Amino acid sequence: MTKPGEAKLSYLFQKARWGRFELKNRVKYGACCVSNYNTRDGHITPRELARTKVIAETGCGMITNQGAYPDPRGEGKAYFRQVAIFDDKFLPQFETIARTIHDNGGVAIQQILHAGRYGGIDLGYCVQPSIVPQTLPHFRSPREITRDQIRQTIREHAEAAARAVRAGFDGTEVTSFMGYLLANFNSRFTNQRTDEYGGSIENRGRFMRELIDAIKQATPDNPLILRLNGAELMDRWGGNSEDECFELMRQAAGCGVDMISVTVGWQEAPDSSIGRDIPPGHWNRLAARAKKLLPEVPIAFGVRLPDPVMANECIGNGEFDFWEVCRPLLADPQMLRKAAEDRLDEVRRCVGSLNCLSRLFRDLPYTCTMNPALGHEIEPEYAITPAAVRKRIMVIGAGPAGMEFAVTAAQRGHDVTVFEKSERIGGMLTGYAANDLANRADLQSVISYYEAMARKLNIGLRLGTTVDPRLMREMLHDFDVAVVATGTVLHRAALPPTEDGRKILDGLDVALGREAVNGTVAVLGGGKVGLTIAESLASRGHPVTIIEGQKRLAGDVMPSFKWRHSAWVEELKIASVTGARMSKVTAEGVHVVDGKGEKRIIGADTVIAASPRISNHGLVNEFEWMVDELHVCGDAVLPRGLGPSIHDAYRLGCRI
Amino acid sequence: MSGLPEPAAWQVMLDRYGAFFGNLRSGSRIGVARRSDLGRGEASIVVWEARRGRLHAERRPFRGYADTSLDVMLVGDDGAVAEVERHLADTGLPALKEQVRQGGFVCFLLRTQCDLVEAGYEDVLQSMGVIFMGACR
Ligand SMILES: Cc1cc2nc3c(=O)[nH]c(=O)nc-3n(C[C@H](O)[C@H](O)[C@H](O)COP(=O)(O)O)c2cc1C
Ligand code: SF4
Repeated sequence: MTKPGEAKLSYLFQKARWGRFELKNRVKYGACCVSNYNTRDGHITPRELARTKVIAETGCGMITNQGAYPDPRGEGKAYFRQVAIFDDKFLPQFETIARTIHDNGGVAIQQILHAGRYGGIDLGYCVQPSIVPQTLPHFRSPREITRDQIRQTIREHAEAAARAVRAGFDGTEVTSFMGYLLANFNSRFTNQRTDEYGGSIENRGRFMRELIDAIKQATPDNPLILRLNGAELMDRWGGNSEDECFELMRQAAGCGVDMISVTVGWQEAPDSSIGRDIPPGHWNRLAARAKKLLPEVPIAFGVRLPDPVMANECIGNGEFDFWEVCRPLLADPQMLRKAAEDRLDEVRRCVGSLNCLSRLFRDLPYTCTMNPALGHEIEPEYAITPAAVRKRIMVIGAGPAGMEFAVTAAQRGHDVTVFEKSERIGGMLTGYAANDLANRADLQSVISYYEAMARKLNIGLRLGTTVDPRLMREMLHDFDVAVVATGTVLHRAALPPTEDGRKILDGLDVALGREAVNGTVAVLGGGKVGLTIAESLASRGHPVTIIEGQKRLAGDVMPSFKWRHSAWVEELKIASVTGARMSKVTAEGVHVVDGKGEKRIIGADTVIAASPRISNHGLVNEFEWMVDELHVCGDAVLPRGLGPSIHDAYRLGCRI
Repeated sequence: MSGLPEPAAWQVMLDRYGAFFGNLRSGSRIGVARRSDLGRGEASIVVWEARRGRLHAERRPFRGYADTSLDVMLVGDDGAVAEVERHLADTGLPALKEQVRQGGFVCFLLRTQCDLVEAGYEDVLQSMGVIFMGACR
């Protein structure tokens, strides 16, 4: 029977024929799963297999397994614990993965990922068509690939494809996503060869055409998908124009490729492609162009398109054929099922934090800000299981930690009430969401999700209620458990003394609109809170100076987002003094000794302290003898931000 | 005749923003070039070399990226170089940073991450918009 959401999103949930395969819907799980969960020599681990089971159960019609490198030398290896497919010794685990996908009704695709310019992670070098130095320090120095090596590499891709098919996969995919080897040959930026593999676009596409031929010959009965850039975003550096990207797609189609997945950007591109600063749907036009150019070739697309409703519309409008989803299914593996049941408000949205990718580039297993269970699928301790004893739980604080805990505990059957002293839930995140220049809706979606889940799970919400020992005494024995999730407070004692009646505003009050700001502004603290406030005020016309004690701004910002703040600071002409020690705040402004030891006065009509913030856990000691079980979670333990707060609260919710 | 500004013009900028480059170890070298020059037979570039806390600009022949004497190379398209040149006498560094961010200049790294950190490049590159500890945006 058609479920209510399936009827609403009828294009998305439509069955689709792809060659000899019938797909149960038009959703392709993109290869968004280079996980770093595997062994250093490329063997798939039980941790990966447990994760793969969750992926297979997402309900996607087609599932792409993570990119495996095809060469024994490791030149194609991009990630510290990436899986390999260069030998039959790897087959048993691939067989398990293919079987798991089939058991869940999906078409199974194995991706082959030779990282080219971004490869050779265990070697001192990487291979590329030509020697073009790196622009990101993470990667290895380049060596030019010889013609013999090209032939060998193509052979290795074909053997890898045949191996994947032997393991039970229905087809294979080669990725050029984000600037891997195939993209390096296609692009003018990295391909400056003068032989038959370089120069004209015809020659640059030769590697791709030979690759398609070789894989087709090795696996004649199985489809091949190519991931190709609709835009490299490298054109200003001498890379391909969009027109050239589409010409290359035409070449691929001419060689009989069975599907093209349209991607955007290179790892090093000077513009964002998948970050929070890119509005959802921004790149859809590239998929539409591909579909128009190649109406006979199935087109898959999903880059920064997190919304099933929008994807459904795009398919309905004929902009592409398959929605290729990656991060949204990391954040919520149940997304598709919730969409089918018309429960979209219960979807935990990907907020584009790029915590997942940032960790891969630190050689760490990937995790997700929004999904604390990701990567822990093999550990029963991370599963939501019915509670053995149903407890009455009070949660103090309705920020992300308090709400995450409440939702998790309620899902396990506990009776949960959240107390919040303000009139709304969200805590500090509400302040961020109101001031964030990148994408307010993303952060707001976290709050909306908690609101929806509180409704669904009958979580009591007592807003506008300050919990203190007096109230606690009134409620003695009403609750079995108290969880203190009261976040942080400004550490006023660490602020410089004030004179002349000057007042230092709390950054959180400013962010929440509880304090008015006028004239020129000094923001004390240049971490993410200070930067967000400074950027927001500067964008509204206030001249702003940030004063930071550390040597650099953005010390607590995600590595892949630091550049974004640096760019805003420059664009909005925000001044900064780093390595600063503040001595006092007077009518003249903030008195500082800067990093070079010079005394300065930073004139300011308004002075705002964004930091230091300290854990607000005063209630813990006060409640020690008032309740059976007492816990603290999130920033109230140690200020670490959104992701760690959510994870901490989830773990507590799972075990209480 | 190259359209790259002469060393003297760069020197004005380097001196004006001396503090920005102040942490670079003596012997550190940054090359600056116009992309359209590099394709030619005898390309010349401008090299900024750190000596005792100050950067000195000099013209040098370009011997290819394998030239191990450089740590970093800034390669601009004609428009970006011209734009920076217009500001060299006053706001040269912000103009250069803006061009790096907008993609008018590529910032090639010719040393490993560790070597760059040791030579004091981390702040300089980060402030130019290079994602020093990651990739993908
Ligand atoms: C953690 C992570 C791992 C990824 N691994 C791969 C991969 O193995 N192969 C690939 O072609 N793309 C990979 N991607 C890129 C995604 O497939 C996808 O194109 C990208 O995330 C944009 O889509 P989205 O906005 O739906 O996430 C990965 C992305 C992430 C975030
Ligand atoms: S870590 Fe961030 S970007 Fe990655 S899937 Fe989770 S929410 Fe999305």
